[in-house]
Amino acid sequence: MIVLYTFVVEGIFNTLFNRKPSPQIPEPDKSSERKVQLPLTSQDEKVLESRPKEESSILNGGINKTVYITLKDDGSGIFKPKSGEMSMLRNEIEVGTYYKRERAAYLVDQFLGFDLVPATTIREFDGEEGSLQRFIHGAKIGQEMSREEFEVTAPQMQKMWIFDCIIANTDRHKANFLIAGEKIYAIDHGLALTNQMYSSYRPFFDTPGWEEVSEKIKSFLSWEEGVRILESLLLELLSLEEVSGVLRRIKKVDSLLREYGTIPKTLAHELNLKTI
Amino acid sequence: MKKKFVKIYKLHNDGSQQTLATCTLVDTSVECIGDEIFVRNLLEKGTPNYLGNSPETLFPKEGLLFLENLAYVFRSGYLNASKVQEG
Repeated sequence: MIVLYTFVVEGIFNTLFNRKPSPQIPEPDKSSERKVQLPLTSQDEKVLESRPKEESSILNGGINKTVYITLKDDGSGIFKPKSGEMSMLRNEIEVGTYYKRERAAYLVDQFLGFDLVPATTIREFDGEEGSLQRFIHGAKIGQEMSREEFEVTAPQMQKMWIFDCIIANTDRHKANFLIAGEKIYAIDHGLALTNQMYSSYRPFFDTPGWEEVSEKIKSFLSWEEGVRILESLLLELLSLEEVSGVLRRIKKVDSLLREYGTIPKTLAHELNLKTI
Repeated sequence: MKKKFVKIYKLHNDGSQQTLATCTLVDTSVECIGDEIFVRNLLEKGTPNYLGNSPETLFPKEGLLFLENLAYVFRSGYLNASKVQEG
């Protein structure tokens, strides 16, 4: 049955932790496609989805097309159009799907409550569809970080690592996360959400300090409707196999953390991880 | 004599881009000048190899391959590397 869910909530975190998704009465979708709307929670996301473009400039460099967009009255974003995606970056990832993976990674992050990925939506500008991600002002990329900054952000790096495990990210390195103040932002998820191997610049196997992550994952999994909503939203962006993989890995991480209190390196294969 | 080089641009809050570093092929190796921390990380830690399976990490000693790979590594918008230029 084709159903349109519209949820009006104060914030997705409230939804997650109060477990009061308070959906309106489902009503039949008049469109021919299945469509599930994410709770429009964060101001950032509303802005990205609704504000008209004020200015744009195609950025120099990079193999994919990237555009800096200024939105009317409020902020800016990085737009990555589908038409500007470079082929053959990963054999298993179809070109033309990178922008959807950017959005999908944001959704997973939001539902888990990790707060790592800047708000990311799918929009169309000048006839081109792509992902639009909130631009983080004053940010440096990991490649610009000193050793001391890496040390300060280690707990967040640990969280980003498990996030990458969950989304099967094949492309995390120092050029695709940001630091602003002491906060880490994960960006560039066009090559994530596969069911292939995953690599990392720094694995966190067998480390302590997983309590916060464990609680967030438990909270998410105990919210059954939230799991269903996320699954529906992801199915609009990814294949069934890819979506199943995400949910399987969330559950696997949960079970490993419950049983061992860490992610044992000896069990990396259960997450389909490449242990470099 | 013309040299092959790549510029790495940093995006600022106003949407403008400024060169953060320049990497140049000198003989068979690459030399980079620019932001100190950025260059040190680049030279010491290398970059993931997008142009082949081996080696997994490229270092300046790989020469032109290292240079060509930069545009694949730096493509987020925040930092973008140019294609290999000659001049």
